[in-house]
Amino acid sequence: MAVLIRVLFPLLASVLLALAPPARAALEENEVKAAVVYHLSLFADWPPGSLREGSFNLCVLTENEGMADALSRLGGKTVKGVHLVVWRKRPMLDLGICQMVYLGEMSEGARGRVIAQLAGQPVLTIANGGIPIPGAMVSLGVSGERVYFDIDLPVVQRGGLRLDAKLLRLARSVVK
Amino acid sequence: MHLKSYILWAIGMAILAAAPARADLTALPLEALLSSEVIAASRFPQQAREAPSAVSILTARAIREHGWRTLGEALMSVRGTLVANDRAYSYLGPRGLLRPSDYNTHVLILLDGVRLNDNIYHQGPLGTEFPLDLGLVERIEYVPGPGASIYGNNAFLGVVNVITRNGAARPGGEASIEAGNYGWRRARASLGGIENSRDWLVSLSHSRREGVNSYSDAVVGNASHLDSEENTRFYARLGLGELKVSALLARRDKADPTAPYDTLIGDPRSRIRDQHGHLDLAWQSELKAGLIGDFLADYGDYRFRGDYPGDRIAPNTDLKRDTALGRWLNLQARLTDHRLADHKLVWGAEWQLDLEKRQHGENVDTATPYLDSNPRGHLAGLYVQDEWRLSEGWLLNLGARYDHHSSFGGAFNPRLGLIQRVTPRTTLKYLAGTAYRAPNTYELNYQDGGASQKVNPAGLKPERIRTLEFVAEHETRSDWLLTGTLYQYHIRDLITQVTDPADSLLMYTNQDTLESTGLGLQAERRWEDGRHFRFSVSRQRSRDNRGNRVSLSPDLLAKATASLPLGGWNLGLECHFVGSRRDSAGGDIGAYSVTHLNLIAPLLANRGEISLRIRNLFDRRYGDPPGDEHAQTWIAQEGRGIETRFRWPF
Repeated sequence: MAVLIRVLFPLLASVLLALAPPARAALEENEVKAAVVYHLSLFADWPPGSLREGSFNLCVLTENEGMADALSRLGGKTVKGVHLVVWRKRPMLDLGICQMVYLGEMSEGARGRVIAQLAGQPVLTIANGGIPIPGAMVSLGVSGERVYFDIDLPVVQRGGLRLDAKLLRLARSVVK
Repeated sequence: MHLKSYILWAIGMAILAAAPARADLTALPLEALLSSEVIAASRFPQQAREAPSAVSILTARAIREHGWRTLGEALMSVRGTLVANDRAYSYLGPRGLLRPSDYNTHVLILLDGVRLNDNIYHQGPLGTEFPLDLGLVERIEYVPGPGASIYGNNAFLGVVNVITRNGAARPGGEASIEAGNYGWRRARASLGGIENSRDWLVSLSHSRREGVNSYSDAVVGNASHLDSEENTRFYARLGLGELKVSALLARRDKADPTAPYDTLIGDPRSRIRDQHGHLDLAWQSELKAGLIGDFLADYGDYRFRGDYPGDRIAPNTDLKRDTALGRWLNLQARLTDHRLADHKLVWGAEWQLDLEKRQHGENVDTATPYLDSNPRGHLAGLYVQDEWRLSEGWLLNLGARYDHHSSFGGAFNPRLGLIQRVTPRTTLKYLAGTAYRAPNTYELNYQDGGASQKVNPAGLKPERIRTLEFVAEHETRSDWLLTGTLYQYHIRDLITQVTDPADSLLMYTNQDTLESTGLGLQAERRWEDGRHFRFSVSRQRSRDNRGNRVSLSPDLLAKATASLPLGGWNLGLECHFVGSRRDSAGGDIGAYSVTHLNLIAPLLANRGEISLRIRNLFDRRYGDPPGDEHAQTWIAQEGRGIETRFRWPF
């Protein structure tokens, strides 16, 4: 067994290294979703006075560390002329600083409580789920190996936000 | 090839493989993003796939579906683990490696990050002595292999982290009542809720069990009505936003029919008591965007009382009583920094002050003490870990921890993991690391006044382990997760009990060296409709420096578990095969297989449920070899056991 490990381990690993595929055509779901979240921030308008000076805050609420990592890598980009700052562990009652909230994998109860708390606030809520999440402005999903998003316009309007016509055109569905 | 050359090899490969940084997808127009083909994220948790180890996770759902009552029962379903029992405690052998008289000191058991191994014996509670009801558990994370680069002492062969559920997970009350043969009765009531950012949970349970009415074996004789047990557990937690306060108190009283340490068989005074208490304060906060701080303060209190009646060798009937009282304060701080694009940095510090490590022993009948020791002690540890994304396909995990123990000095333990995503469905992990186990207070200071055991005048050093591991994980297109592991352990300076020829007294000394190599294979699938299957086979070979097989360690383990939803019902099945083992005297103990079944049916319009659990369905006769404190080489395990449980919310 020892010989097996000593010989097989480097050999097998080296072969696999050599076989490791070069660049792939397909992109990783989390990375694409994070990029879509970034574009949503570019094509949305917040009511006057609701944006802070100095930073634009994206708060990430998810148990999926891979998605949180992908969103964290957006940190430092420019949104509305200021730096994008990504928060990963804001407690539920302390979401006042966020202009955008990403609601990923979490219990339905917790997600419902966050949505209820942010209702009517100028905060762009983006939920991740196969079906549109009631109360979320934008819901992300994957179908046929493509990322899509749905928009709930009445919820967006109640929050005082405006979405660019381009987003409404590219959305899979828009609730009017 | 030695460890150093492996590390150099791995680093070289990593640098070779480090492709240019990933493309920035935000530069693509939204239309292009929405029309590009994506690779769906795995259905299995990313944390487990990217962890520098072969993690197994058991969820609250699996605990319910299989009706597990103890942490040991739950861990027995995991690939490669062996759980043995001697009617006093349950013992965990990660990757089948278990030595005689190892009281779970080579496994670190954590409850929400709090160390449950006590500060005297360093014993990890695993069986009915585990202080929390499994009904309060959200999930169990089991990591075989060394974990000392993060966790320090005792994370030698594996780490078990038990995560409790919070009050928000199931607001309202829940009651459960259980009954079964062997005189089993248990009642539990839990109450929890959430208001604004406050969540809370309180739970109290009590159980009794008569156990096996008559215990008999050829070596020590017969005992009747001496297997009983009584257990009381209290747990409460309060979450206040970023702050969490929790309290735990659990006591187990167990009669022992097996007459260990040459005590009298059938004597009703033979009993042990274990009590675990913890008061914890945890605070997690995002100090700056992407910088997360975790702080934990734990006050731990462990009490043991063992009554050992009489002596079969030097015949007398005097009652000897060992008591232990451990109290400690443990502080931990950890910073996780996500601010650098391709790095996740973790910095941590731990400090423990032993307020008390008292061991006392006396002959109760003659009122003569033979042991009274209460050494002071403290430890401090510092660690750092970097998870470095070299390229899209490669992740380098580097970590190291330094510990200073007042009892022997320093220990430095590095860990290196190279994780390669060959394809989105295939992950390979190349791992190397070391760990240590500090001698515990019992090994350092226990003596019984010259009767049988003395303190080693030369002192003791920590045990050391060095490991190499290769893990391959592949998800098939039909959603099967296949896992293969190959590992090699080199263990030295094992603390072993020997007889000093000068005075024929037992003492502990750093003596044995051990090599363990093995491989494990597992296939797992969960269907959308809730069906779940998992099969595993593990083979291992452990030899000591004299070329002998390690007692108590089977060379073959196979597990199969299945969960089948049947309408609103659920059937959970598990079958474990344990290959032949050697007992501590060198004899052979045959292989066994045992099957457990758990059937759940809804009740009260789906609000409550009733379950029926049959352990050892086919009433197989099997046993576990005990440690050196037992004269017998085989301790029979229970035959068929039937238990029912009613559970309803209120």
